[in-house]
Amino acid sequence: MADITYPPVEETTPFNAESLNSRFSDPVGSVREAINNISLDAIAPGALNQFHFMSGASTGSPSQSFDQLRVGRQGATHTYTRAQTVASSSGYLPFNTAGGAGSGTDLRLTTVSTLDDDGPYSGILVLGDFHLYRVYDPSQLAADRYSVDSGVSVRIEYLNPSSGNWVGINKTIRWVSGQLPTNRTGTSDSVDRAQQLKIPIRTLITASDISGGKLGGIRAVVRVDYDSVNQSTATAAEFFQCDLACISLTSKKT
Amino acid sequence: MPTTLNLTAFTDGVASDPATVEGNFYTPSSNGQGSLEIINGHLGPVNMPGVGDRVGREHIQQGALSNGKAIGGNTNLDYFGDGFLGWDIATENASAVEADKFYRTIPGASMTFFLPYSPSLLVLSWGIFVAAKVDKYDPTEEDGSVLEGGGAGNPPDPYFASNYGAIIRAYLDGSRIDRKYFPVPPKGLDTSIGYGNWDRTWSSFYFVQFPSAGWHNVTLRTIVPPVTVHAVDTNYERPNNQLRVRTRHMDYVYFR
Repeated sequence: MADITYPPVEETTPFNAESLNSRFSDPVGSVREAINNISLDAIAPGALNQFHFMSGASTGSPSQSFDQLRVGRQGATHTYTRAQTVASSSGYLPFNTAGGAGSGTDLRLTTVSTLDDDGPYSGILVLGDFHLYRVYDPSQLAADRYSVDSGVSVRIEYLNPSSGNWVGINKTIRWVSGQLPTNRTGTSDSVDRAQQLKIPIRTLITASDISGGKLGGIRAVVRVDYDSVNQSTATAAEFFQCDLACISLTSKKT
Repeated sequence: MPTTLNLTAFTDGVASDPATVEGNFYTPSSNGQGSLEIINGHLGPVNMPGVGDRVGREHIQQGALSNGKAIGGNTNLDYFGDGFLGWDIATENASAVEADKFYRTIPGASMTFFLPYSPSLLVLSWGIFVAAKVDKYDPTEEDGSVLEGGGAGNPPDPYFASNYGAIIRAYLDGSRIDRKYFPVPPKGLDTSIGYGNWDRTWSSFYFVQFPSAGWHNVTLRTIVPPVTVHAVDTNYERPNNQLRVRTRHMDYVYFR
């Protein structure tokens, strides 16, 4: 440890190059050496503030809103069906500007590629907001299109860079029910009403959630669940605006 | 750019120049390398080789890396259509500026906060639990509420059918946050439209990168449509439409 000292030049001490150098620049005990070797003890409590650190949050690349799915109050929806869900290999469909057909742009984020409890990135905070306009069975008569047994599940997946596969993170699964009974014949005002359900996801993904601590991206997916009342693969989920964002959390300066 | 300190050395036998001595104390430069002026913000990791990542939380000022606050409320708040007379869907569609004049701020879901510096990221998040109902009441000849051009029993509630018991929007610094909008589906007063669960939760978020330092405000605001439109296009006010706001919260967190 080196403290900054500057011993006074006493009456009998020559004031010359040696006495100056020993105080300013000599390898041992000089001001220069002390400043070039500041110890932890020299940092006073509370000495460091925002000017001394880089950001603890990185929004990755990018903090993405899914603008293509932006809709107004009477805007178009993007639709996913039970039939498409069944046909998919994972049982989930990526949120996509073209809906379950998947021919548009996925709701997908590129983020940091490695998570490690020892840093520099120890976790990714993921936030999602999915606006379900309605889930219903269009193959039924209007009064019978809804079922309390219908519903959708939404989850977050990460891309495993080794296998190239998208892997679901089970702790992020959110399920909602259609919440409306079938057979509302005679109650015209309740026919074909939209549920307007907002489905939120907030989760922290850490190294323990992903294989080998490596990932190649994050996306949001949806499945249209089996409706045992209508028992139809035509059951469809229509979504309005869906947002996905992530923050890569820095735990160590590199 | 942090650098090591190098001071001018003195040579034995050469008269000490006062300017050289003074220069060792204070010679401003871009990196502070040549004088003790280096302590004016030029010190960095190269000056602290033994410190490394041993800096502890006690060394860091509160709020230097992140800070935030959360507020909330759980007292029921009721909003009725008669508080929004003059609003209609045409205004809403035509002009956000005009429509915004009718929106009311929701206490417990709104806050003013101060950013001491411009952080790299500000995260706003909120949640609100609400229930809306529409005064589903068909005009009748008997009570005189039948509308001109319309008859008793005509369904007069396109807002109901369009799922608008209320609209909630998020605002930052007085302006709508684009895309942050929630149409609250209503439950009706008569039994035929009482099916289902129409209470709703909206939990959402918004990111702002490099917001300016200083005061900001974030609010959730609402309107309750006061007007229904008759089947033959006659406006008809229904001030009993209601939105009940139950629990709600608003949070902000910012990162250096």
